[in-house]
Amino acid sequence: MKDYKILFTGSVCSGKTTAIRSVSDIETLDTDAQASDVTVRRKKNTTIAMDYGVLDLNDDTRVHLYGTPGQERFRFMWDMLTSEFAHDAIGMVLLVDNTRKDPFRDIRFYAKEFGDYLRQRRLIIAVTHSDVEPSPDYNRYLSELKGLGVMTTVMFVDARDPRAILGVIEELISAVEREIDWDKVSDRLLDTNGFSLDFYKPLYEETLLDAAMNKRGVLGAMHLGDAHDVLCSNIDDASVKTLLLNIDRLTGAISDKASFMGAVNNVVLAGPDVDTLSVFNDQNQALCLRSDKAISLPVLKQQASDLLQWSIENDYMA
Amino acid sequence: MTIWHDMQAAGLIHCGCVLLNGEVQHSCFPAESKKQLAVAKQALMYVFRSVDKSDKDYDEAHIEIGDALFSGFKLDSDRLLIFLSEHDTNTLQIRQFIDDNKERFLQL
Repeated sequence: MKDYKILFTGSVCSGKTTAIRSVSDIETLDTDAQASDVTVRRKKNTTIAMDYGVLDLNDDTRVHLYGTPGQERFRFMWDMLTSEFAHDAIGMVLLVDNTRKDPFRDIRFYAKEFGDYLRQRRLIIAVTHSDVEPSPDYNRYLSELKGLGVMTTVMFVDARDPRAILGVIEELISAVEREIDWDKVSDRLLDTNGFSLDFYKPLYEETLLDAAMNKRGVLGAMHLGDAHDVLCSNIDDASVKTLLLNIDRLTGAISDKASFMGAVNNVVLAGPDVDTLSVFNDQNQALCLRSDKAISLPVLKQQASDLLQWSIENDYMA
Repeated sequence: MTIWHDMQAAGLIHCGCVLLNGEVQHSCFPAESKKQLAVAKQALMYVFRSVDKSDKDYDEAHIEIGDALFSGFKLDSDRLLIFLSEHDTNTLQIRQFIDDNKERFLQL
């Protein structure tokens, strides 16, 4: 028996669990738990350890499919998967959710995180959710990847469709296995696993402010738009609101006048007896937070980054 | 060894300065970082002016720009400490260092 391995990775909700489940011949091992942080805005359950499935290509050949958890706080599992379970994988599939505000940021992030791992194996970029958000399109991906110096195959897939995921697997395996009857495998998967649109249901449940208020230590939040306008806020203290708006305007001024230093990412105000105030910029929006002074700066930054990543879609869905 | 050297040796900052009523009183910012110092000074002074107007008790501000972090700490009503460090510097350690060495800073 010849065994191959493929590692699936990507952001939360990019479809890793769904992709593995759609082609696996065994009941997949998934380690979902109720999401406790920002991912709850996108779905109720998230993978906390790993996904695992097996696909039989014929009597002599099978593929082991491993999926990483999407959240960075389970990064230790990424290390474990790349150094142990899937250290000898033939390739890696990076699932990219096309509804993300900046899908290319995800590609840059994962290409860097898995840089060493990818030196020895092929990468396939599988773009998901393009039925919900068709842009960026295939040509834009090719152009951006060229700019990033990443030469790889890009495929637009529906993670629920076994034929699409099998196509990704074929792209990796066919270079070393020429005797596989891929049509036969595809027919078999459609018969056994089917293609259900109910397979995967992203849930858009919370507003940005609700999600912010569910973060540990957050006492208030304000979402600002491109023109420094207040999109929504639950900060009642007028002087705090004014202070945050002044700081937001400052970040714009610095970015204009001191562009040689780069963009202002965030400003944080702290004191021994006051709530921490912070302004986090993300392209055309800003998130202002009033937080318990006990919350550390790195935690604050992580919370804000997670929240801003989802905010545009959430506004759109609302 | 100056207090700036101590902070640099501890990996806390690249450089720093003390402002007295808005003017640089003591600095270890190198000449090539003059522009950065000007940006940090203007930005942090604006922040603390806004804080004063709001009547809130903030004595510490951090501005992350690109890969750099500008930090401002009010030593007293006239003096402001400004530091340039890496964006992921542990600001709690800087705070602790200032608390432990406040007299040394005031004597600069």
